[in-house]
Parts: sequence; structure tokens; C-alpha cells
Amino acid sequence: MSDEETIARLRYKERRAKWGVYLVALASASGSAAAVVCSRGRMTPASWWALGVAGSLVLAGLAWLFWQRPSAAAYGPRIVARRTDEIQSGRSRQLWVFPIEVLCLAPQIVVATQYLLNRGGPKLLGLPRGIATTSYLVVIAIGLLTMVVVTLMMLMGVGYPSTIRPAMDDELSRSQRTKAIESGFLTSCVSGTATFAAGLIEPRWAVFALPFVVTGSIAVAAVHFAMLDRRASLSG
Amino acid sequence: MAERGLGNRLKQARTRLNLTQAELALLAGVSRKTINTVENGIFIPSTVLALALARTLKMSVEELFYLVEE
Repeated sequence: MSDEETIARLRYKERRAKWGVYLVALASASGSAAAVVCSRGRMTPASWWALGVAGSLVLAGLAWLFWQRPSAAAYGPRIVARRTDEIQSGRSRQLWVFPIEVLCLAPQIVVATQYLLNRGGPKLLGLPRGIATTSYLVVIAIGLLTMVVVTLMMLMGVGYPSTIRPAMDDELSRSQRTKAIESGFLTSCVSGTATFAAGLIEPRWAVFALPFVVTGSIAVAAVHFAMLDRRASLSG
Repeated sequence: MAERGLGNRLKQARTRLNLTQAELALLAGVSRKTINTVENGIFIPSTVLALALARTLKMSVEELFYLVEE
């Protein structure tokens, strides 16, 4: 098979995977929306069913994506060398998802924090206080952990086939990553200080702001990286 | 103390050999973006990359890169 044919096959698989990701995200969002609509402030059996179906679809979609992923052997050194720019640009485009993810997580974070500040109670989930509080903490932790893991995958090539990793972690990418992480660090320093100051006035404000300090800093780093990469492509 | 920047003749050397950025990138084993950012002075390459680029263009590093007093 010629390099062109291999590249065409890889592009086809990647396009299919992209639509798979869109469908998984749609299933997850629809399931959560259905659960919210059905619950009206209290989880009912219908809400749990909606969440269960959405969760199953997400898991099935992820399993399909894992099954369909091209093998490391498909990304030979010649193919990777010819597609380095394409691979890097694809990664940068994905990083723009982060601010959107922060916005999507925001309502969940606000509700969860409110719930924790008010010492929980069975009102929202229809569960005993301890379990409900743990569930909320788990939801927040999963959201934050996903952001951190996906950032590492996007910025450092963690989890990608070993043959692609050098293209994701070349000298220019490392330099861009350093600048992006500096921005994220600066953002976390400034917003963390502001949060601390706010907490001295009213402790609840600090508790509310903390998840946004974390997610916002990650989003700033991700977007800055994407902007640097875009600038590198355009300045010719 | 004067600030020093890095100037380069990468574009002239590349066009002299009738190479596109993508072709030079392929020969040097880097991305086109790397060539683009080095040419435009956005990215200062490491010694390893400078040596690799000079070798690909059959020049010495001093011919390809020079210090600019700012």
C-alpha cells in the first residue's frame, strides 16, 4: 500500500472517530439534560434510567473508539513525518474544547458547591446525605480529572501511539508548552490570590471560586497553546 | 548589558536550493511549523536543531545563524 493510500485510510478512520466522539458527547449531554428535566430537583426512577442509558451509550462509544483506533504500526515514521503538521494542528483544534468544557461544567460546579456549603441533605439526589455528598464530590473530581488527563494527552502526547509521540513532543511543541504552562501558572497565581482575598471577606466566595481557579487555569494554558500553534502555522 | 537575538539566513538558503518549507522540514526531520517559526525569528532553535538544519542545507551553523545586538 502506498503512503498516500495509508494516509487516506488513516484520515478516514480519524474522521469516523471524530464523529464517534461527537455522538458520545451528544449522548452524555442528552442523558444529563433528560435527567435534569425528569428530576425537577429530585432524582426519580426516570432520571436514573436517563442517566443509565446515557452512561451506557458513552461507555459503548468509548469502547468502540478504542476498538477502532489505528494501530501504532499504521503510523510508520514516514507517515508521521508527512503528517506532523496535520497531527499537531488536529491536537491544537481539540484544545479549544477546554473553555467550552469549563462553561459546561460551570452549572454542575455551582450546584455541587452550593450543595456542599449547605451541608448536603437528600433534596437534590433523593439519597441519604453521606452518599449524596460523596456522589457530588465524585462528579466534580471526575470532571477535573478528565480535564487534567485530556490536557496531558493533548499537550504531551500521553496515550498516543509511540510512533506519533515524537511529532506531538518536538522542540517547537515543548517551547510552546512551556509558554502555555507559564500562562496557566500565572492565571492560577492571580486568581488563587484573588480567591484567597475574597475568602477573607466571605469564606463561601472562596469555596465557590476554587473549582473555577483550577478549571480556568487549565483552560487558559490549553487555549494559549492552541493560539501559539496557530500563530506558528500562519506566520509564513 | 546588550540584549542579543538570533538572526538567520534560513529562507535564503532554502530558496537557493529550491526547497519549500515542507520539503526542508521532511529532510531535517522536523515539522513545517518549526521551519516557519525559525525563519520568522519566533522560535530560537536548540543547538541540536541548528546543527541539523545546517547539515541539511550543507552550510555551517555560523553561516546559517548569527547574533543580532539589540
